[in-house]
Amino acid sequence: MIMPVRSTRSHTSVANHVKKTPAQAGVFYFLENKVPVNKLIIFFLSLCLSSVAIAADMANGKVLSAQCSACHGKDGLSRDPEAPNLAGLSALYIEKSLVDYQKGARHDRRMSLIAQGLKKSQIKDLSAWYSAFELTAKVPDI
Amino acid sequence: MKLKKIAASIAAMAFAAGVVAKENDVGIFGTSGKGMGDHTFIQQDGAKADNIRAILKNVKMPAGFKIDLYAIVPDARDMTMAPQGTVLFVGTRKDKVWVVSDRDRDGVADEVKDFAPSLSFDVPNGVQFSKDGFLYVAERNHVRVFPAAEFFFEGPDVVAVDVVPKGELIPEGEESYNHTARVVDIGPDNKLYISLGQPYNVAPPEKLDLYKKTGIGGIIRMDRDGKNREVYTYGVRNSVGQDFHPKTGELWWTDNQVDGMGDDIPPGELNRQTKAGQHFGHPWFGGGKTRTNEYAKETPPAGIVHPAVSTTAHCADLGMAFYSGNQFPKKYKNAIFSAQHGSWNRTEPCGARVMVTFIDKDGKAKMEPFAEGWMNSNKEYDGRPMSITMMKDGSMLVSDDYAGAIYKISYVGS
Repeated sequence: MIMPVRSTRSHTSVANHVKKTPAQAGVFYFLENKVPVNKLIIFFLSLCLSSVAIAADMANGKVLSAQCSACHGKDGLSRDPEAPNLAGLSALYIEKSLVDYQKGARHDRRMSLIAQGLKKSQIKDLSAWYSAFELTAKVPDI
Repeated sequence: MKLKKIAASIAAMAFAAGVVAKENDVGIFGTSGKGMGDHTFIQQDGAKADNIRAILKNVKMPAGFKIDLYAIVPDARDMTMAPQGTVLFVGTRKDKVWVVSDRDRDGVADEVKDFAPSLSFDVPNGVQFSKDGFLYVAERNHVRVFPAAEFFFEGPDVVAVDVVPKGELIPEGEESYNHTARVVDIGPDNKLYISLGQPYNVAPPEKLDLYKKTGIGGIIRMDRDGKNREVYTYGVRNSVGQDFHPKTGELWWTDNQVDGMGDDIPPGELNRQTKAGQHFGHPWFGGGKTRTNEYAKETPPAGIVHPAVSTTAHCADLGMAFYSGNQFPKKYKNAIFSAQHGSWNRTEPCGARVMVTFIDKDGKAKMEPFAEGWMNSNKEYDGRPMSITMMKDGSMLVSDDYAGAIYKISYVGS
């Protein structure tokens, strides 16, 4: 199994096919749902590592991100009104966006050019890097 | 699942576990909150200001010049100093125009707040004061004038008069999200000159008639009340910087050139316009004398004017201003200072610096770097100079929409 790149919040996706989350059901969750042992191992490992992102080459993502930072910011917070924040986005979404630009399903004057030059592994690395950023938000007080 | 695969997964996770996500500075655009009615005030001291001052230590300039932080201004773009020299107005590509005051006159701003928070602005990039104190603001598709803005900015509500009503600067169907940052200047003929970037990388053939008629991909001029609008400049891709030569009155302007043709072509441009109606080549030319792939087989219109200076490709030459002050050494008199915002997809990044262009008596121009150091050793931006304006005392202000700051460059001699 190849583990997908994980952001800090994505460990719950392992159990998405059941109604109750493991946190709600406690230990009985695993007994009631007859979860295979190998999935349990992965699940507990995910929990242990929940504060870090998991990627084969996040360090390469960091190197590649120098170019992205011109618009999206070194901290993944955009300085450019045309560009979104990337900090903390799910790896899945970043990957999908880049692939969509590559395939032409999405078009942007800059991103369509950038995406053309990226290999699949580079897309994964970049997605891992930005999804690992931790972010807090302040909701407006109205 | 095979045990081998599980082992591989565990190994991958253990490897990644050593890499911990970096904390972010979420407060980069932080404000000090609201007060005095609806105004937003921007905090001028603290960690952000200290960080910017530390970055400025890396900036290299010719001997005798110094650079300081003048103000923290989020998204700072085009700037204009009010005629009395007391307040600076700053445009953005978002929804605010900022007012920067130096109330204690110590040469550093002490208050930054939003202009006319009771009004809404849509990409108010271009700001320009007339000598008699009228503030012109050019938005994506709207131009307004604010009489005596230098005095009325104190309150949240101000007098605003349409110069070009909303939706009439360009046809609404042509409104886009890129190349919509306008600049506005007042010529020696007391008319408004407004740049209208065309929205494409290369303007498509089916749009050319409409663009020629409306001045999109050009510079238009009109009386200060909006009457007698005409197209002054053709063949522009996206100009975000212009100024009039203090002696000759000729309009000089920068232009951003076509993307996707490689790192080294086409060059960026600094252009000199000597009369109304000149054509500068887009979309037949992608920058300098480089032909675009899209129009490679077409015959360009006759009489194309090529740039006065071809700059390094993709450095993004943006805002510019002539130096007419007396503080800098004599050789800078009537030279052009311009900002290179920096490339966004060049393999070897370039730009993030202030350039100076000297023009000889025959009108021949030569550009060289003046202030550099906003690109760090990782080739990441620590700042991106965007535009230039001059202060009454002959100091120069440089806006940076990446750092959200305005710098002041002065000459102190040896």
